[in-house]
Amino acid sequence: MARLISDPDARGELFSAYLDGQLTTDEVVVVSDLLDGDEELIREFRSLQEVRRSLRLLPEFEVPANLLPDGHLGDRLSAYLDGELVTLEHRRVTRHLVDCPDCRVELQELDRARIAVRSLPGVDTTSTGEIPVTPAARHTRRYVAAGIGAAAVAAALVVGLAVGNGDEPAFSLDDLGTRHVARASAEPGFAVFPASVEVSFP
Amino acid sequence: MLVVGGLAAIVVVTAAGTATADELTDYLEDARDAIYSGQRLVGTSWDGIQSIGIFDIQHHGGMASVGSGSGFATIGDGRMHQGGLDEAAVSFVLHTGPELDARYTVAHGEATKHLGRAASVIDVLEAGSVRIRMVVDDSTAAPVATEVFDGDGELFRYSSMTKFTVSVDPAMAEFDDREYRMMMPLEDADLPIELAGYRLVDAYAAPQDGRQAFYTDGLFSFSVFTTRGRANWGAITNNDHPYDSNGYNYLRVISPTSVTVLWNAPTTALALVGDLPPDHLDQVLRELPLPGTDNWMKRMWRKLFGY
Repeated sequence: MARLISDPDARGELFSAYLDGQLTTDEVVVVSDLLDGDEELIREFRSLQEVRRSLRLLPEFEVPANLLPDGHLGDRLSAYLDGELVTLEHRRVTRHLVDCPDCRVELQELDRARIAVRSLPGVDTTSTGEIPVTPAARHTRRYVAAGIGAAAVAAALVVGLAVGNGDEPAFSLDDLGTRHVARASAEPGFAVFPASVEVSFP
Repeated sequence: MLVVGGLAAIVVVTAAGTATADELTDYLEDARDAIYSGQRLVGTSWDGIQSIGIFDIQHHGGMASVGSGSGFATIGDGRMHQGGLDEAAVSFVLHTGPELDARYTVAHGEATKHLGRAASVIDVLEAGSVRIRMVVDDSTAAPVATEVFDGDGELFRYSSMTKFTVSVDPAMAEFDDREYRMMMPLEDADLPIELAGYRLVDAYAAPQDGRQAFYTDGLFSFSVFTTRGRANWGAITNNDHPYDSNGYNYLRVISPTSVTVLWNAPTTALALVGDLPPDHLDQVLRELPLPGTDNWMKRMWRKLFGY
Protein backbone atom coordinates (compact mmCIF):
# COMPACT_ATOMS: atom_id res chain seq x y z
CA MET A 1 0.00 0.00 0.00
CA ALA A 2 3.00 2.29 0.55
CA ARG A 3 3.61 2.15 -3.21
CA LEU A 4 0.12 3.55 -3.78
CA ILE A 5 0.89 6.52 -1.58
CA SER A 6 4.12 7.42 -3.32
CA ASP A 7 3.13 6.69 -6.91
CA PRO A 8 0.97 9.55 -8.27
CA ASP A 9 -0.58 7.41 -11.01
CA ALA A 10 -1.55 4.61 -8.68
CA ARG A 11 -2.82 7.16 -6.19
CA GLY A 12 -4.96 8.73 -8.92
CA GLU A 13 -6.38 5.32 -9.71
CA LEU A 14 -7.16 4.77 -6.05
CA PHE A 15 -8.99 8.10 -5.80
CA SER A 16 -10.81 7.43 -9.04
CA ALA A 17 -11.88 4.00 -7.86
CA TYR A 18 -13.18 5.57 -4.64
CA LEU A 19 -15.26 8.08 -6.60
CA ASP A 20 -16.60 5.22 -8.71
CA GLY A 21 -17.58 3.37 -5.54
CA GLN A 22 -15.30 0.47 -6.36
CA LEU A 23 -13.17 0.24 -3.24
CA THR A 24 -13.42 -2.17 -0.38
CA THR A 25 -13.97 -0.65 3.04
CA ASP A 26 -10.33 -1.24 3.97
CA GLU A 27 -9.23 0.64 0.85
CA VAL A 28 -11.57 3.49 1.77
CA VAL A 29 -9.75 3.70 5.08
CA VAL A 30 -6.49 4.07 3.12
CA VAL A 31 -8.03 6.91 1.09
CA SER A 32 -9.20 8.65 4.24
CA ASP A 33 -5.70 8.32 5.73
CA LEU A 34 -4.25 9.88 2.60
CA LEU A 35 -6.67 12.79 2.77
CA ASP A 36 -6.23 13.44 6.46
CA GLY A 37 -4.17 16.59 6.70
CA ASP A 38 -2.06 16.28 3.53
CA GLU A 39 -2.99 19.45 1.66
CA GLU A 40 -1.28 18.38 -1.55
CA LEU A 41 -3.17 15.11 -1.72
CA ILE A 42 -6.42 16.86 -0.82
CA ARG A 43 -5.91 19.23 -3.77
CA GLU A 44 -5.20 16.25 -5.99
CA PHE A 45 -8.43 14.56 -4.86
CA ARG A 46 -10.56 17.69 -5.28
CA SER A 47 -9.13 18.40 -8.75
CA LEU A 48 -10.02 14.86 -9.77
CA GLN A 49 -13.59 15.55 -8.64
CA GLU A 50 -13.63 18.67 -10.84
CA VAL A 51 -12.33 16.77 -13.85
CA ARG A 52 -15.02 14.15 -13.43
CA ARG A 53 -17.70 16.84 -13.23
CA SER A 54 -16.36 18.44 -16.40
CA LEU A 55 -16.46 15.12 -18.20
CA ARG A 56 -20.08 14.66 -17.22
CA LEU A 57 -20.93 17.99 -18.87
CA LEU A 58 -19.56 16.92 -22.24
CA PRO A 59 -22.25 16.34 -24.89
CA GLU A 60 -23.46 12.78 -25.04
CA PHE A 61 -23.86 10.91 -28.28
CA GLU A 62 -26.34 8.11 -28.52
CA VAL A 63 -24.70 4.99 -29.81
CA PRO A 64 -27.00 2.59 -31.68
CA ALA A 65 -27.76 -0.40 -29.50
CA ASN A 66 -26.53 -2.83 -32.14
CA LEU A 67 -23.05 -1.30 -31.97
CA LEU A 68 -22.79 -1.66 -28.24
CA PRO A 69 -21.50 -4.74 -26.48
CA ASP A 70 -24.22 -6.56 -24.59
CA GLY A 71 -23.97 -4.40 -21.51
CA HIS A 72 -27.52 -4.85 -20.32
CA LEU A 73 -28.34 -5.98 -16.84
CA GLY A 74 -29.97 -9.33 -17.49
CA ASP A 75 -30.32 -11.43 -14.34
CA ARG A 76 -29.13 -8.59 -12.14
CA LEU A 77 -32.48 -6.86 -12.71
CA SER A 78 -34.20 -9.63 -10.81
CA ALA A 79 -31.71 -9.42 -7.94
CA TYR A 80 -32.16 -5.65 -7.98
CA LEU A 81 -35.90 -6.00 -7.71
CA ASP A 82 -35.44 -8.45 -4.86
CA GLY A 83 -33.28 -5.92 -3.00
CA GLU A 84 -30.42 -8.41 -2.93
CA LEU A 85 -27.63 -6.29 -4.36
CA VAL A 86 -24.88 -4.87 -2.18
CA THR A 87 -24.39 -1.13 -2.23
CA LEU A 88 -21.77 -0.91 -4.96
CA GLU A 89 -23.69 -3.18 -7.29
CA HIS A 90 -26.95 -1.42 -6.46
CA ARG A 91 -25.36 1.90 -7.40
CA ARG A 92 -24.04 0.56 -10.71
CA VAL A 93 -27.40 -0.95 -11.63
CA THR A 94 -29.24 2.25 -10.71
CA ARG A 95 -26.85 4.34 -12.83
CA HIS A 96 -27.31 1.98 -15.75
CA LEU A 97 -31.09 2.18 -15.39
CA VAL A 98 -30.96 5.97 -15.56
CA ASP A 99 -29.23 5.78 -18.95
CA CYS A 100 -30.77 2.66 -20.47
CA PRO A 101 -34.42 2.79 -21.56
CA ASP A 102 -34.33 -0.87 -22.60
CA CYS A 103 -33.43 -2.02 -19.11
CA ARG A 104 -36.00 0.30 -17.58
CA VAL A 105 -38.70 -1.26 -19.72
CA GLU A 106 -37.46 -4.73 -18.84
CA LEU A 107 -37.47 -3.87 -15.14
CA GLN A 108 -41.03 -2.56 -15.31
CA GLU A 109 -42.16 -5.69 -17.17
CA LEU A 110 -40.43 -7.84 -14.59
CA ASP A 111 -42.13 -5.94 -11.80
CA ARG A 112 -45.54 -6.29 -13.45
CA ALA A 113 -45.00 -10.02 -13.79
CA ARG A 114 -44.05 -10.30 -10.13
CA ILE A 115 -47.11 -8.34 -9.05
CA ALA A 116 -49.29 -10.62 -11.17
CA VAL A 117 -47.75 -13.70 -9.58
CA ARG A 118 -48.16 -12.28 -6.10
CA SER A 119 -51.81 -11.52 -6.75
CA LEU A 120 -52.60 -15.15 -7.57
CA PRO A 121 -54.59 -16.97 -4.87
CA GLY A 122 -52.33 -18.78 -2.42
CA VAL A 123 -51.86 -22.46 -3.13
CA ASP A 124 -50.75 -24.82 -0.41
CA THR A 125 -48.86 -27.65 -2.09
CA THR A 126 -49.05 -30.14 0.73
CA SER A 127 -48.18 -33.80 0.36
CA THR A 128 -51.74 -34.66 -0.57
CA GLY A 129 -51.59 -32.38 -3.54
CA GLU A 130 -55.01 -31.04 -2.68
CA ILE A 131 -55.71 -27.40 -2.98
CA PRO A 132 -57.26 -26.22 0.27
CA VAL A 133 -60.37 -24.15 -0.07
CA THR A 134 -62.11 -21.91 2.38
CA PRO A 135 -65.14 -23.73 3.84
CA ALA A 136 -68.38 -22.39 2.50
CA ALA A 137 -70.38 -20.29 4.88
CA ARG A 138 -72.89 -22.24 6.84
CA HIS A 139 -76.44 -21.38 5.99
CA THR A 140 -77.89 -21.76 9.45
CA ARG A 141 -80.59 -19.18 9.63
CA ARG A 142 -80.68 -17.52 12.96
CA TYR A 143 -82.85 -14.57 12.20
CA VAL A 144 -83.18 -13.33 15.75
CA ALA A 145 -79.44 -13.37 16.48
CA ALA A 146 -78.65 -11.79 13.14
CA GLY A 147 -81.20 -9.09 13.68
CA ILE A 148 -79.81 -8.23 17.09
CA GLY A 149 -76.28 -8.26 15.69
CA ALA A 150 -77.22 -6.02 12.79
CA ALA A 151 -78.91 -3.57 15.12
CA ALA A 152 -75.84 -3.48 17.36
CA VAL A 153 -73.52 -2.90 14.39
CA ALA A 154 -75.76 -0.13 13.07
CA ALA A 155 -75.86 1.54 16.47
CA ALA A 156 -72.10 1.31 16.83
CA LEU A 157 -71.67 2.70 13.33
CA VAL A 158 -73.93 5.64 14.00
CA VAL A 159 -72.13 6.42 17.26
CA GLY A 160 -68.77 6.03 15.53
CA LEU A 161 -69.74 8.36 12.73
CA ALA A 162 -71.11 10.89 15.13
CA VAL A 163 -68.19 11.08 17.53
CA GLY A 164 -65.33 9.17 15.89
CA ASN A 165 -62.20 10.74 14.49
CA GLY A 166 -61.33 8.17 11.84
CA ASP A 167 -59.54 4.83 12.03
CA GLU A 168 -56.24 4.35 13.74
CA PRO A 169 -53.65 4.06 10.96
CA ALA A 170 -52.08 0.64 10.57
CA PHE A 171 -48.59 2.12 10.39
CA SER A 172 -46.35 4.34 12.45
CA LEU A 173 -44.89 7.77 11.95
CA ASP A 174 -41.47 6.10 12.01
CA ASP A 175 -42.55 4.10 8.97
CA LEU A 176 -43.46 7.25 7.07
CA GLY A 177 -40.23 8.89 8.21
CA THR A 178 -38.19 5.90 7.05
CA ARG A 179 -39.78 5.98 3.62
CA HIS A 180 -39.17 9.68 3.24
CA VAL A 181 -35.57 9.54 4.46
CA ALA A 182 -34.79 6.63 2.14
CA ARG A 183 -36.21 8.42 -0.87
CA ALA A 184 -34.68 11.79 0.03
CA SER A 185 -31.23 10.19 0.36
CA ALA A 186 -31.13 9.76 -3.41
CA GLU A 187 -30.88 13.54 -3.72
CA PRO A 188 -27.50 15.29 -3.36
CA GLY A 189 -26.97 17.02 -0.05
CA PHE A 190 -29.69 15.19 1.84
CA ALA A 191 -29.60 15.99 5.53
CA VAL A 192 -32.70 14.30 6.90
CA PHE A 193 -32.11 11.55 9.41
CA PRO A 194 -34.68 9.24 10.97
CA ALA A 195 -35.76 10.61 14.31
CA SER A 196 -35.42 7.21 15.96
CA VAL A 197 -31.61 7.03 15.66
CA GLU A 198 -30.51 10.10 17.57
CA VAL A 199 -28.09 9.27 20.35
CA SER A 200 -29.06 11.51 23.21
CA PHE A 201 -29.51 15.02 24.38
CA PRO A 202 -26.16 16.36 25.67
CA MET B 1 -39.37 36.80 -10.05
CA LEU B 2 -36.53 36.95 -12.52
CA VAL B 3 -35.96 40.62 -11.71
CA VAL B 4 -35.82 39.87 -8.00
CA GLY B 5 -33.42 37.01 -8.66
CA GLY B 6 -31.24 39.27 -10.80
CA LEU B 7 -31.10 41.97 -8.14
CA ALA B 8 -30.23 39.42 -5.50
CA ALA B 9 -27.44 38.14 -7.69
CA ILE B 10 -26.04 41.68 -8.07
CA VAL B 11 -26.10 42.16 -4.30
CA VAL B 12 -24.31 38.84 -3.95
CA VAL B 13 -21.59 39.81 -6.43
CA THR B 14 -20.99 43.06 -4.58
CA ALA B 15 -21.08 41.74 -1.06
CA ALA B 16 -19.71 38.26 -1.20
CA GLY B 17 -18.31 37.30 -4.58
CA THR B 18 -19.69 35.54 -7.58
CA ALA B 19 -21.31 32.18 -7.36
CA THR B 20 -23.84 30.22 -9.33
CA ALA B 21 -26.36 27.56 -8.59
CA ASP B 22 -24.08 25.18 -10.47
CA GLU B 23 -21.45 25.76 -7.82
CA LEU B 24 -23.90 24.71 -5.15
CA THR B 25 -24.62 21.59 -7.16
CA ASP B 26 -20.86 20.99 -7.41
CA TYR B 27 -20.51 21.39 -3.68
CA LEU B 28 -23.37 19.00 -2.99
CA GLU B 29 -21.79 16.42 -5.30
CA ASP B 30 -18.41 16.83 -3.62
CA ALA B 31 -20.07 16.50 -0.23
CA ARG B 32 -21.55 13.20 -1.37
CA ASP B 33 -18.01 11.84 -1.86
CA ALA B 34 -16.68 13.25 1.41
CA ILE B 35 -15.00 10.92 3.90
CA TYR B 36 -15.50 11.85 7.54
CA SER B 37 -16.85 10.74 10.87
CA GLY B 38 -17.80 12.43 14.09
CA GLN B 39 -20.81 13.71 15.94
CA ARG B 40 -23.42 16.12 14.66
CA LEU B 41 -25.69 18.25 16.83
CA VAL B 42 -28.96 19.00 15.04
CA GLY B 43 -31.89 21.06 16.27
CA THR B 44 -35.17 22.52 15.07
CA SER B 45 -36.78 25.48 16.78
CA TRP B 46 -40.31 26.41 15.78
CA ASP B 47 -42.85 28.51 17.67
CA GLY B 48 -40.92 27.91 20.87
CA ILE B 49 -40.89 24.13 20.38
CA GLN B 50 -37.38 22.70 20.43
CA SER B 51 -36.27 19.32 19.14
CA ILE B 52 -32.58 18.59 19.49
CA GLY B 53 -30.55 15.46 18.84
CA ILE B 54 -26.99 14.31 18.58
CA PHE B 55 -26.10 11.86 15.83
CA ASP B 56 -22.94 9.80 15.56
CA ILE B 57 -22.14 9.87 11.88
CA GLN B 58 -19.83 8.02 9.52
CA HIS B 59 -19.80 9.12 5.92
CA HIS B 60 -18.12 7.85 2.78
CA GLY B 61 -18.99 6.95 -0.77
CA GLY B 62 -22.37 8.66 -0.66
CA MET B 63 -23.54 6.65 2.35
CA ALA B 64 -24.05 7.95 5.87
CA SER B 65 -24.32 5.76 8.94
CA VAL B 66 -25.98 7.57 11.80
CA GLY B 67 -26.85 6.73 15.36
CA SER B 68 -25.50 3.97 17.52
CA GLY B 69 -26.51 0.59 18.92
CA SER B 70 -30.07 -0.37 18.13
CA GLY B 71 -30.76 3.04 16.68
CA PHE B 72 -28.22 2.60 13.94
CA ALA B 73 -29.22 3.46 10.36
CA THR B 74 -27.34 3.51 7.09
CA ILE B 75 -28.68 5.87 4.49
CA GLY B 76 -27.79 6.93 0.96
CA ASP B 77 -28.42 6.40 -2.74
CA GLY B 78 -32.13 6.07 -2.10
CA ARG B 79 -31.78 3.20 0.34
CA MET B 80 -31.94 2.95 4.07
CA HIS B 81 -31.35 0.16 6.50
CA GLN B 82 -32.36 0.73 10.07
CA GLY B 83 -30.65 -1.50 12.60
CA GLY B 84 -32.77 -3.31 15.10
CA LEU B 85 -35.81 -3.47 12.87
CA ASP B 86 -36.79 -6.21 10.49
CA GLU B 87 -37.85 -3.86 7.80
CA ALA B 88 -35.43 -2.12 5.47
CA ALA B 89 -36.70 0.31 2.91
CA VAL B 90 -35.31 1.35 -0.40
CA SER B 91 -36.40 3.62 -3.16
CA PHE B 92 -34.76 3.84 -6.53
CA VAL B 93 -34.91 6.63 -8.96
CA LEU B 94 -35.01 6.60 -12.72
CA HIS B 95 -34.37 10.28 -13.22
CA THR B 96 -31.54 12.73 -12.97
CA GLY B 97 -31.68 14.95 -9.93
CA PRO B 98 -33.77 18.10 -10.33
CA GLU B 99 -31.90 21.38 -10.60
CA LEU B 100 -31.95 24.03 -7.93
CA ASP B 101 -35.13 26.09 -8.22
CA ALA B 102 -34.68 29.49 -9.88
CA ARG B 103 -35.81 31.28 -6.70
CA TYR B 104 -32.45 30.52 -5.11
CA THR B 105 -29.12 32.22 -5.70
CA VAL B 106 -25.80 31.24 -4.19
CA ALA B 107 -23.06 33.33 -2.62
CA HIS B 108 -19.64 32.47 -1.33
CA GLY B 109 -19.00 34.15 1.98
CA GLU B 110 -15.84 34.57 3.94
CA ALA B 111 -13.30 31.96 4.89
CA THR B 112 -13.78 30.65 8.41
CA LYS B 113 -12.76 27.83 10.73
CA HIS B 114 -14.77 25.05 12.28
CA LEU B 115 -13.24 22.86 14.98
CA GLY B 116 -9.91 24.42 14.04
CA ARG B 117 -10.18 23.33 10.40
CA ALA B 118 -10.23 25.65 7.40
CA ALA B 119 -13.76 26.08 6.08
CA SER B 120 -15.81 28.30 3.78
CA VAL B 121 -19.24 29.81 4.10
CA ILE B 122 -21.81 29.26 1.35
CA ASP B 123 -25.05 31.21 1.51
CA VAL B 124 -28.15 30.20 -0.43
CA LEU B 125 -30.39 33.23 -0.81
CA GLU B 126 -34.06 33.50 -1.61
CA ALA B 127 -35.45 36.91 -2.60
CA GLY B 128 -32.31 38.56 -1.26
CA SER B 129 -32.46 36.93 2.19
CA VAL B 130 -30.33 34.06 3.42
CA ARG B 131 -32.32 30.82 3.39
CA ILE B 132 -29.45 28.46 4.22
CA ARG B 133 -25.97 29.23 5.47
CA MET B 134 -23.57 26.32 5.12
CA VAL B 135 -20.08 26.00 6.50
CA VAL B 136 -18.10 23.61 4.34
CA ASP B 137 -14.89 21.93 5.40
CA ASP B 138 -12.30 22.93 2.79
CA SER B 139 -10.43 19.65 2.81
CA THR B 140 -13.28 17.19 2.60
CA ALA B 141 -16.26 19.26 1.34
CA ALA B 142 -18.20 17.92 4.32
CA PRO B 143 -20.97 20.18 5.62
CA VAL B 144 -19.70 20.92 9.12
CA ALA B 145 -22.42 23.43 10.05
CA THR B 146 -25.71 24.61 8.56
CA GLU B 147 -28.34 27.14 9.50
CA VAL B 148 -31.80 27.23 7.90
CA PHE B 149 -33.89 30.39 8.27
CA ASP B 150 -37.63 30.85 7.98
CA GLY B 151 -39.31 33.57 5.94
CA ASP B 152 -38.88 36.12 8.73
CA GLY B 153 -35.16 35.53 8.94
CA GLU B 154 -35.49 33.60 12.20
CA LEU B 155 -33.29 30.55 12.73
CA PHE B 156 -35.43 27.47 12.14
CA ARG B 157 -32.93 24.61 12.02
CA TYR B 158 -29.24 24.27 12.71
CA SER B 159 -26.62 21.57 12.67
CA SER B 160 -23.01 21.52 13.70
CA MET B 161 -20.34 18.85 13.78
CA THR B 162 -19.13 18.76 17.38
CA LYS B 163 -16.49 16.12 16.65
CA PHE B 164 -14.89 15.68 13.26
CA THR B 165 -12.19 13.41 11.88
CA VAL B 166 -11.22 12.37 8.37
CA SER B 167 -11.69 8.66 8.90
CA VAL B 168 -14.29 5.94 8.67
CA ASP B 169 -15.09 2.80 10.57
CA PRO B 170 -14.70 -0.35 8.42
CA ALA B 171 -17.75 -1.79 10.20
CA MET B 172 -19.86 0.64 8.23
CA ALA B 173 -20.11 -1.86 5.37
CA GLU B 174 -21.79 -4.51 7.50
CA PHE B 175 -25.28 -3.51 6.47
CA ASP B 176 -24.63 -4.87 3.00
CA ASP B 177 -25.73 -8.39 3.88
CA ARG B 178 -29.31 -7.22 4.25
CA GLU B 179 -32.05 -7.54 1.67
CA TYR B 180 -34.02 -4.46 0.81
CA ARG B 181 -37.66 -4.01 -0.01
CA MET B 182 -37.73 -2.32 -3.39
CA MET B 183 -40.10 0.52 -4.06
CA MET B 184 -41.06 0.80 -7.71
CA PRO B 185 -42.28 4.20 -8.87
CA LEU B 186 -45.95 4.45 -9.80
CA GLU B 187 -47.15 5.99 -13.02
CA ASP B 188 -49.19 8.73 -11.36
CA ALA B 189 -49.45 10.32 -7.95
CA ASP B 190 -52.95 11.84 -7.98
CA LEU B 191 -51.37 15.03 -6.69
CA PRO B 192 -50.27 18.24 -8.44
CA ILE B 193 -47.03 18.10 -10.43
CA GLU B 194 -45.93 21.28 -8.70
CA LEU B 195 -46.65 22.64 -5.22
CA ALA B 196 -45.44 26.14 -4.36
CA GLY B 197 -42.26 25.76 -6.42
CA TYR B 198 -41.63 22.15 -5.40
CA ARG B 199 -41.69 19.65 -8.25
CA LEU B 200 -43.24 16.20 -8.06
CA VAL B 201 -40.40 13.82 -8.86
CA ASP B 202 -41.95 10.40 -8.36
CA ALA B 203 -44.54 8.47 -6.39
CA TYR B 204 -44.64 5.11 -4.66
CA ALA B 205 -47.10 2.79 -3.00
CA ALA B 206 -47.49 3.57 0.70
CA PRO B 207 -49.09 1.82 3.70
CA GLN B 208 -52.83 1.14 3.79
CA ASP B 209 -53.20 1.26 -0.02
CA GLY B 210 -51.90 4.78 0.09
CA ARG B 211 -49.35 6.70 -1.91
CA GLN B 212 -46.14 8.53 -1.27
CA ALA B 213 -45.45 11.50 -3.56
CA PHE B 214 -41.94 12.93 -3.38
CA TYR B 215 -41.35 16.63 -4.06
CA THR B 216 -38.18 18.72 -4.11
CA ASP B 217 -36.98 22.14 -5.21
CA GLY B 218 -33.35 21.00 -5.32
CA LEU B 219 -32.70 22.28 -1.80
CA PHE B 220 -35.53 21.06 0.45
CA SER B 221 -37.75 18.04 -0.04
CA PHE B 222 -40.86 16.42 1.35
CA SER B 223 -43.11 13.41 0.88
CA VAL B 224 -46.89 13.61 0.95
CA PHE B 225 -48.52 10.37 2.11
CA THR B 226 -52.17 9.98 1.20
CA THR B 227 -54.62 7.25 2.03
CA ARG B 228 -58.33 7.04 1.44
CA GLY B 229 -60.63 7.78 4.35
CA ARG B 230 -59.85 9.47 7.62
CA ALA B 231 -57.16 8.63 10.14
CA ASN B 232 -57.06 9.07 13.87
CA TRP B 233 -53.60 10.59 13.78
CA GLY B 234 -53.62 11.35 17.49
CA ALA B 235 -53.63 7.61 18.17
CA ILE B 236 -50.14 7.05 16.72
CA THR B 237 -48.28 9.95 18.21
CA ASN B 238 -47.99 11.42 21.66
CA ASN B 239 -45.72 14.34 20.91
CA ASP B 240 -47.80 16.22 18.39
CA HIS B 241 -48.54 19.92 18.61
CA PRO B 242 -51.47 21.80 17.10
CA TYR B 243 -50.56 23.89 14.10
CA ASP B 244 -52.61 26.61 12.47
CA SER B 245 -51.75 27.23 8.84
CA ASN B 246 -53.75 29.51 6.58
CA GLY B 247 -56.61 29.37 9.10
CA TYR B 248 -56.82 25.57 9.14
CA ASN B 249 -55.90 23.19 11.95
CA TYR B 250 -53.22 20.54 11.58
CA LEU B 251 -51.09 18.39 13.87
CA ARG B 252 -47.31 18.61 13.65
CA VAL B 253 -44.55 16.43 15.03
CA ILE B 254 -41.17 18.14 15.18
CA SER B 255 -37.96 16.12 15.12
CA PRO B 256 -34.39 17.45 14.91
CA THR B 257 -34.04 17.13 11.13
CA SER B 258 -37.63 17.09 9.88
CA VAL B 259 -41.23 18.03 10.51
CA THR B 260 -44.31 15.84 10.05
CA VAL B 261 -47.71 17.46 9.49
CA LEU B 262 -50.88 15.36 9.84
CA TRP B 263 -54.46 16.11 8.86
CA ASN B 264 -57.68 14.76 7.41
CA ALA B 265 -59.30 16.19 4.31
CA PRO B 266 -62.92 15.20 3.68
CA THR B 267 -62.04 12.03 1.77
CA THR B 268 -58.32 11.59 2.39
CA ALA B 269 -55.94 11.24 5.30
CA LEU B 270 -52.69 13.07 4.64
CA ALA B 271 -49.22 13.24 6.20
CA LEU B 272 -46.41 15.47 5.01
CA VAL B 273 -42.85 14.60 6.07
CA GLY B 274 -39.99 16.88 5.10
CA ASP B 275 -37.34 19.42 5.95
CA LEU B 276 -38.90 22.51 4.42
CA PRO B 277 -39.03 25.73 6.45
CA PRO B 278 -42.33 27.00 7.92
CA ASP B 279 -43.11 29.65 5.31
CA HIS B 280 -42.59 27.15 2.49
CA LEU B 281 -44.68 24.64 4.42
CA ASP B 282 -47.58 27.12 4.66
CA GLN B 283 -47.44 27.68 0.90
CA VAL B 284 -47.39 23.96 0.17
CA LEU B 285 -50.27 23.18 2.54
CA ARG B 286 -52.38 25.86 0.88
CA GLU B 287 -52.18 23.90 -2.39
CA LEU B 288 -52.92 20.47 -0.92
CA PRO B 289 -56.39 19.20 0.08
CA LEU B 290 -57.43 21.27 3.09
CA PRO B 291 -58.52 19.92 6.47
CA GLY B 292 -62.24 19.39 6.71
CA THR B 293 -65.08 16.96 7.15
CA ASP B 294 -68.05 15.96 5.07
CA ASN B 295 -71.50 16.28 6.49
CA TRP B 296 -72.97 13.46 8.54
CA MET B 297 -74.88 11.85 5.66
CA LYS B 298 -71.85 11.79 3.36
CA ARG B 299 -69.70 10.23 6.05
CA MET B 300 -72.30 7.55 6.72
CA TRP B 301 -72.65 6.84 2.98
CA ARG B 302 -68.87 6.52 2.59
CA LYS B 303 -68.58 4.33 5.65
CA LEU B 304 -71.34 2.02 4.43
CA PHE B 305 -70.53 1.87 0.73
CA GLY B 306 -66.92 3.00 0.52
CA TYR B 307 -67.30 5.84 -1.97
